[in-house]
Amino acid sequence: MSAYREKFEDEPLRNRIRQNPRPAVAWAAVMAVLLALEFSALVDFVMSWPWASLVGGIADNLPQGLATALTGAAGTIAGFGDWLSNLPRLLTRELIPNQGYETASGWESTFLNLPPALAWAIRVTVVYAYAFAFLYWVWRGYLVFREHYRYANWTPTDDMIDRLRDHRWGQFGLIVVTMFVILAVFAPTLGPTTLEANIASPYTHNIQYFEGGEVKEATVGAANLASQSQGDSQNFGLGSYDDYGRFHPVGTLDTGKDLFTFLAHGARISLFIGVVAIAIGGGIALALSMITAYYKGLVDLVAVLASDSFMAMPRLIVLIMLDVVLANHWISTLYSGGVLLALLFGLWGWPGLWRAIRGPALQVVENEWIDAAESFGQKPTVLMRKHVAPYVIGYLLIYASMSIGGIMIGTAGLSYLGLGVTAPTPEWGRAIASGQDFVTSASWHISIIPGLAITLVVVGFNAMGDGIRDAIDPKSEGASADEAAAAGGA
Amino acid sequence: MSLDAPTPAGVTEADIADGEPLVEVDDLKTYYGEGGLLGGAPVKAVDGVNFDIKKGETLGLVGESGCGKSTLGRTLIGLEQATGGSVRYKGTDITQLSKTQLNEMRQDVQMVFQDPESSLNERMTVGEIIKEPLDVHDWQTPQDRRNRVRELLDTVGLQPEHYYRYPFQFSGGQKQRIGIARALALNPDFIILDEPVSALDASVQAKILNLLNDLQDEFGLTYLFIAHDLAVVEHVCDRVAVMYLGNIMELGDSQELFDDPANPYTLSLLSAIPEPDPSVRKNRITLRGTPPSPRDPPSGCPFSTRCPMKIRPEEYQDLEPAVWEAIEVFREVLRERSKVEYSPTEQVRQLLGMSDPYDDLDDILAEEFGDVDVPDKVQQHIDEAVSRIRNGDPESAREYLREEFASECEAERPELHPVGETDRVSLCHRHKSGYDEPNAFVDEDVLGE
Amino acid sequence: MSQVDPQTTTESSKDPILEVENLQTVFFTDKETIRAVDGVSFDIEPGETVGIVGESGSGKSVTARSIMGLVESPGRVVGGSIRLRGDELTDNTKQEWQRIRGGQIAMVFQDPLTSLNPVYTVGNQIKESLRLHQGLRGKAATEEAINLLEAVGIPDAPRRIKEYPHQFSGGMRQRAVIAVALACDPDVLICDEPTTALDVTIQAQILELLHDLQEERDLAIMFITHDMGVIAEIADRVNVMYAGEIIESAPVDELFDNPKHPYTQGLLGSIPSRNPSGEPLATIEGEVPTPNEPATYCRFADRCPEAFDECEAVHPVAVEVSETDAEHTASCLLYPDDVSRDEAVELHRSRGAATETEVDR
Repeated sequence: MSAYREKFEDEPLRNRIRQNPRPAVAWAAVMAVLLALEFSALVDFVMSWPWASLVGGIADNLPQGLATALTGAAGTIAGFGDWLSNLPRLLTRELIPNQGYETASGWESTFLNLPPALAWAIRVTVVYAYAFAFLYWVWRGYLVFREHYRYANWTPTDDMIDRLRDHRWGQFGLIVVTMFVILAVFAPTLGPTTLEANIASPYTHNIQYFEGGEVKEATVGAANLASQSQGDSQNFGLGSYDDYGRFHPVGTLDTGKDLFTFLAHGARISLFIGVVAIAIGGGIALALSMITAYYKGLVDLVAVLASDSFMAMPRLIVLIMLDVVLANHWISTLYSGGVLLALLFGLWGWPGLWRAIRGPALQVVENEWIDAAESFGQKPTVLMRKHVAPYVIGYLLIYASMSIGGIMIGTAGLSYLGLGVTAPTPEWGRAIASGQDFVTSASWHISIIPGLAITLVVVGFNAMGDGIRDAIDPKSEGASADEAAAAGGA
Repeated sequence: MSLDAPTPAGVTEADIADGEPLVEVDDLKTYYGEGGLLGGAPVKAVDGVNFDIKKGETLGLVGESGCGKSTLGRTLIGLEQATGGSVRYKGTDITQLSKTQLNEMRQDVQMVFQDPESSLNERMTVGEIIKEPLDVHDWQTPQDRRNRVRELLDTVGLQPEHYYRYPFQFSGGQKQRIGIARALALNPDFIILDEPVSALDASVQAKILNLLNDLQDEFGLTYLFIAHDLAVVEHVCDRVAVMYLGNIMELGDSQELFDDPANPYTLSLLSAIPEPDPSVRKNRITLRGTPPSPRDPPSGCPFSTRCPMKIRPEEYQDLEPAVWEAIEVFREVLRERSKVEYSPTEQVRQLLGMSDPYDDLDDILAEEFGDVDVPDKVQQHIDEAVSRIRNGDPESAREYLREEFASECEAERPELHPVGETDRVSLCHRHKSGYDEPNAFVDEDVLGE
Repeated sequence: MSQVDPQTTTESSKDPILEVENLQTVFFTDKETIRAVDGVSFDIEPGETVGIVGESGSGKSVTARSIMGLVESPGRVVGGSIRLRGDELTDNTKQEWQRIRGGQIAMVFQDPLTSLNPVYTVGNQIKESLRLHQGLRGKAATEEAINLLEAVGIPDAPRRIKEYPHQFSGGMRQRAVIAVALACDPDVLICDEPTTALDVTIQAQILELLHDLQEERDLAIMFITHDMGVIAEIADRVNVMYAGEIIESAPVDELFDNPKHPYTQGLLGSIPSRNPSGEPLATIEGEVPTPNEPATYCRFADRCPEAFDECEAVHPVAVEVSETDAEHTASCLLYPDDVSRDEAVELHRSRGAATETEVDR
């Protein structure tokens, strides 16, 4: 009836906000402040994409006049972007420097003339505080939306998130994983020195130090040589200063390079490989699970045979073999072999993931709503996306987060063996390898610290997976006892 | 139509008048697992059914689990592939349609499913669930669709505010209303209701049945009402079809069928219903055994293994019912035994003569014939069969007993004979001239009157 | 189909074998406290079938589980008494429960597929019960198992002993479950919707079987269902439950002829076969509530077509309502109807205060 047309016009989000602006504005204000603090970093990140080649490529295909106009416009935008990215921002090492030298009267050129250890600690705290504040504020935004602006007063996801809120182990995992990700993302800012200066090209950078009453300069490489941790004879362990006044939060490697910087940048590639591998493996597993669950029969049989064949191959040996075979291929040069490893882990990872979610997918397809959708002519792709995928994705997340741990260990293992990620790109496994002779000596930190780090991160991922699983599955422990009562009370 | 808003139009090549056949089913067969990778006998879920559904009526389809009624409903809507025969909807054979044509037809034929818990996708809002058919067929504009959904919510007795709720927040009866609203979205002419109230409590059931009735009057719908609860069917349906093992055993006017059933299976079924009235004492027909597997239906009449009024061969007409029963059970035991799948070790042992599946034959004989007084003419046949089994040839023993004790109930599939005053048919050999009608064999109070 | 004539039972069977008095079972969840069983009282005599009828959410299954000691966290029995031949059951230890379950009270559940363990043969499961309660082993156990399967009407029992549950059809599985339940000759058999999942012809077979077994073994049966037809068929006495309470209790004939409580009337009214064909079915407005507050009022009041003000304030207790001698009680402020309404309400009020109990955490 026409009455319905007027009464229940669905209001778009902006109207709903307009009706009750206070919560949204309050949230947006704080968000703006947070973004402003790091806005230039964001612009910098965007600017680092290969726009020039893109614009150039398009311009080549356009007629002359348009091409020049395009390149001109792109140039001005680029200039503006550059200016933006040079605006001051919060999380830079220049704002809170920790490199300096000690004179008789205290430290020079560190932040507030504090000892480097303290300055570094302050910077790390600021980074983490900002990151957690930002994440928390995003979470607050979701809560504001849920409470004030969402039409539905309850969704099934709400229950899941509520269950996560009480799940201590899962939250522990989430925190560990978040800290790991922040470490990887902000590695240049978090390390006591930079990757280029200390590890990649130590002989092209200089530092200043104080010796014998005057300020001298030396190359970083020379300083590294003097700072090697060689076991009981010479060691620079946790929280130590070397002879050049540099601070090493977790000590130095046997080559004298700073271990923390090494680990922070190694985290980047570990994360990259883990995430990309899971994305590839998970993507294949998800698509395949829905197809085999929906069509069953021959498709399922072929997929089972294929996955069993993959799983029958010993994964580590295959990876080693392929890594060696493809060593001269161009793909292994991308990201020092990281892309190749990610591809290999992904391609060998899908069978396990698919097997794990095949069961739930088959169960979901048994439900009558699938029949109902078919009965009014829903297309198979849409059906799989709307009616099967939401249920399967939860399980995929569980197994994916648990598999990431395995992938990281696999990467570390390969690097330990000297394959996988090639020098000079840092990787945790290589650190372990280089320190293995010193484990029983004073320089135990070279192997043990990365080992502990890997363990902690993998446990964190597994804990997060546990949390997700308990959140999704209403029959688990932390879940509503109403179902139990209802079942018993029928 | 009482709706002002433009509603979806269905396929209308020929507009059918009330009372004319809307759906015509002709010798429909749906088999599963035929020609599968690993062979094996196909499951004959629907094994040759014939009936019409007239516009505006409610045809009930009853039967016990495994009789094929759900499969029949699903075949009519295209969720199962028919193996043989035809289904004509408004003159078009839908078993032969292409995908796109089938999709068009689907706007006209919709289904309400049994289990309210699993027929609604829990991750979608109620509004999205009801809107989905409209989205699939791209009806009008999105805002129009949302309005139509709200109309439908009102039609089935829910609130328009429920658009943004999730199924979890509703009770079983309300969920079923949502399912009905979804079925109505495309304005169909024909709705197949697959056990729509079986999963609901009695009082909720009553409300849903009243709703379905109102909707039928308001929108001129035709229903196929599949159920196993005969009391509900009697109340709701104009005509009823009774199914057993993929066949329609009796089909006719609902009131007449329930008052005076003609088919032996219908008699047994009605006799088995517990009457909600303790003063009524039924002299119930209790069927023995269980329905045979649809993978292996009996030859001849599907009900021949359990029929209490099975035709006996001439010479055994006067046999005591207890003796006849004992013979039948004995034959059934042998039949079951021949179907048993032995494990590989057991098969090897049998081959080597170490184990005999019939070594407890004496126990079986004692159990079946121990209490009855077996006349000699019967005993000699039993002994012959037993000796054949002892010689290691149970197949020939079965064959022998079959020749001796089987009648046309096992030899030939019966036809649908007209019975009663109105347009009723029943599948039974006894309707042929020369035999007593099935209801001659039952006492008056078998239906509890 | 004759019934056991009450007059011819022996002396000892006059005493009830199972007495339930003011049973209270509560589920303590995070959000609320659900009083699934809130003051239920009834008796069962040997050889008698007592029916408990109600819809989902009425608490009938929880009652059965409470009697068997099968209520698990977050629920527990918080009050009342359950006496089996005079022995109190609510304070049983685990060992005592193990002795009683199967040996004296046995239970048959709704879904035979999940009641039987799919990885053991049926014979194994019967023999397990025999071993636990009667100490039978080996050949003696196998013979007894075969006897039991035959007693429940499964043909070709010697073969069936060695088969697995999935090789049985639904009706046969339920028979096998009954065989397991009867393995140790219990005195009381609790059946929780045993035929709901079965076809009507199989249901008829099972009901007949239960009837025969009851006659042979003088079993007391507690039969739970939502199907009024089945109750009419099998029960001698009927208790109607609503939201955790028994709101009407009567011999079966009396209940169907003279339902007194408006809920029972509504329930009987909504049965299709009691309504003329083609007419809309009589319905009860509203939904079954979740009993999460103490019953200081009538829980049916907001759906009752005959409710009046006091129904929200006074909790009805069971009062005699029959015109004849039969034991027919109903918990409704409309009764007793031979006195004025105010007097009736006062009667309920005073009786209720006398037997008040508190549920504490």
